[in-house]
Amino acid sequence: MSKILQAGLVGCGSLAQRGILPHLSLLDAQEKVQLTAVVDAVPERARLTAERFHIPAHYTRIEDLLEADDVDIVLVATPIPFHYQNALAAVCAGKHVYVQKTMTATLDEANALLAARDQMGVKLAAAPGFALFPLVNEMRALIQNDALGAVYLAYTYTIGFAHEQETIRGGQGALAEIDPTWYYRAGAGPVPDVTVYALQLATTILGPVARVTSLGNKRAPLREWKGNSIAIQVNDNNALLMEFVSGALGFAVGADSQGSARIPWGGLGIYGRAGSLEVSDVDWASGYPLRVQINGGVWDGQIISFDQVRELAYPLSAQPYIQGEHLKLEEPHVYADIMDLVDSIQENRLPRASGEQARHIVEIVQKAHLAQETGITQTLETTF
Amino acid sequence: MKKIKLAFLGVGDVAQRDYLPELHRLHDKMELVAVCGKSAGRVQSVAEQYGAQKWYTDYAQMLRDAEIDAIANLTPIQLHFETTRAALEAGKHVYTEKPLASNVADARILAREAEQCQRKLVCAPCVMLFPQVRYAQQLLRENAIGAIFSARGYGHGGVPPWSGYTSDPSPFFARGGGPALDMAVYPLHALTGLLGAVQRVSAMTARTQESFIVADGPARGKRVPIEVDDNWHLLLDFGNGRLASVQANNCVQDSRAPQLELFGLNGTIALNLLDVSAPVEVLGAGATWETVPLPRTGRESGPDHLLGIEQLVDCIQTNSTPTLNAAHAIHVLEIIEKAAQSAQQGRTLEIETTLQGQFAPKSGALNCLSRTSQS
Repeated sequence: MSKILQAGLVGCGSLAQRGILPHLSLLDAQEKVQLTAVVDAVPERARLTAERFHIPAHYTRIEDLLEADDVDIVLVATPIPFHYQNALAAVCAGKHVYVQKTMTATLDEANALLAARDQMGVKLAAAPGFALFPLVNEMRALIQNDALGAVYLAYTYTIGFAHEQETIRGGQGALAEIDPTWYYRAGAGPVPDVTVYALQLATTILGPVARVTSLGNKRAPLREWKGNSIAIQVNDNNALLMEFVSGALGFAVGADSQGSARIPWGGLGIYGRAGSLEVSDVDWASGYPLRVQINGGVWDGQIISFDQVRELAYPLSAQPYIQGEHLKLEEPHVYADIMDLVDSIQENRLPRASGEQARHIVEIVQKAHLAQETGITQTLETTF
Repeated sequence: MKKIKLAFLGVGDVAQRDYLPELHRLHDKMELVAVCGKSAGRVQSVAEQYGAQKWYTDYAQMLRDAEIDAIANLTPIQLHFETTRAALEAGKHVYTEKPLASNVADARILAREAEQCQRKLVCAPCVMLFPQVRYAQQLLRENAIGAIFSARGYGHGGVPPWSGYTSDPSPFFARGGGPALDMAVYPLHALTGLLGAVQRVSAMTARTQESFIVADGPARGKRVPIEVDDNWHLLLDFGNGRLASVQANNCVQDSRAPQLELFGLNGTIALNLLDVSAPVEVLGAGATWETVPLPRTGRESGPDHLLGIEQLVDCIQTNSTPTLNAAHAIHVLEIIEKAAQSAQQGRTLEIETTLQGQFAPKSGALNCLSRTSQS
């Protein structure tokens, strides 16, 4: 039997409290990986988190965690602007790393982080790993096998950029008073926070992007949290237009929305010369597409009329890690990404949520913001 | 009131599919007196079928006919400028199919010409008169889904060869044509009619094939070159925290997604821009989608292009100003022109033309029939 790995969690904010900690507290997780330390810049939050989840050690600085040198894996769940420094410190200390989305704030940081990973010979998993869900892989295989004919058009959108309204942040005490202001500061915003899911899903299925342009503006310039108003620095209303390397054009929207009549939040519509594929159901907690509808297309070498509909559907439990109690908890995809990293270490293979794809997404996000500022369509240099 | 004497210039596919069979609806205010087309055989049979006394193959000759008050210009896109100009100069009022012209400069000449000649110039598409767009306009006025911050529009051109198309499709793919001028005009007219003028555009375009062979109809077997990019994707900034994207293409089979979606802070409105029988779907505060069927106001189904000709006839009879005006058509043409430049140059471009508030909803709102909830 493989040894149980030990992990340290950096960042005990909303995602950690709602997702990472509850999942890793369950028995099946603890048979593979155990959290032995937590780190948070707010001392009281670090202490209370350790107490609540029965974790032996707590720190306010990652350096102390790394100095103790008793973990195999570091989980980075800080605000996005701090991903890089924490992930890099962990990698340089020889730790395997899981990094929440978006992996880093800039392409330079992503390059440096992956170079350090290679130099240290450690494994790095970067969220969100859509390739861990079987339906996504089936969608990719369909497109690659020309089931829709040549694909020329795609669209996807994400919503939910209102972190100041999360229930958890409404309570009292260090575990609840989690300041959301950073989401609205430069380097964050809805594109790296939520559009990243749409970008990750679209690129997992359609492959890398060659060029991006974007428009953005401010829908709600003033936000409020616990009676304080937050003047947002980033555009909270964004639209990205991308040319994929394959030649397809696609767009992604990142803003608050009540929903589309056709493509659900976080879903994807893919349109080809012979047919279309539209996600018709998305699991709210994970963002995984659960059901797709295919109109027309090519089936067994025959072109099918557009009115003929085929459906593919998978339950959330089709993801092997998301079983039992995990199905009831929030953020199950984060747990799946972490467990895949754990298994990749034991099995000495690459984690499926790849750093290379995450770097490509970091570049799309950065270049989209650059296109907004300069009005110039940007050419991407990375691929995956 | 005196009946308006109308002539059709162009009797091809759209004339026979969408206009002529509906013309009887305007029977008490206009009469079809002449038709003009390229092929003598076809134009003569159309004249006989729809009771036009005269038929022509030379439009200049037809325009000299003093009996004619107004022209419905249904020629191929590339001929719109020359023929509309000639009609205005001959003193005729004009309804023109979209686009008004293939570029802004030509369109401006036509607008000026109409003003100088004091003739009415009514510009397709008339989506702003479609019941579902009027209903959406009414919902926006009632603030039913909160402030609009995002929208998506789609103009579906279909993959050539178009089966069942009864004319030579070449002009749609030739210089001066393409899916933006042919199909993006629908969502662009609706979006700008509903939300106001666009301030900036950023776009990408692509060509997915160089030519195709016509499969049926009179041009069967002809190889048609695709001279204009057949895949267009536009991002639009309306200002005040509002963005939209619009796609138009001739390279994907179809889409089941609504042709227009308006996203508001408290809900979404989804509608069809090419079928007046399609209900409007509304996601309101209750977080469930409602399907709202609308009363029939004209054609039973499909696009009701005749509403544009009706507006021309009404405006002539009452000497009023059309809402389907050249300023709106020019604004949309500028968006398309700048989108092409944006795609070519890789830059976001400013739009110079604006719109006045000509789309203020009429009083006497459209009453929807029963609303049904959709689970």
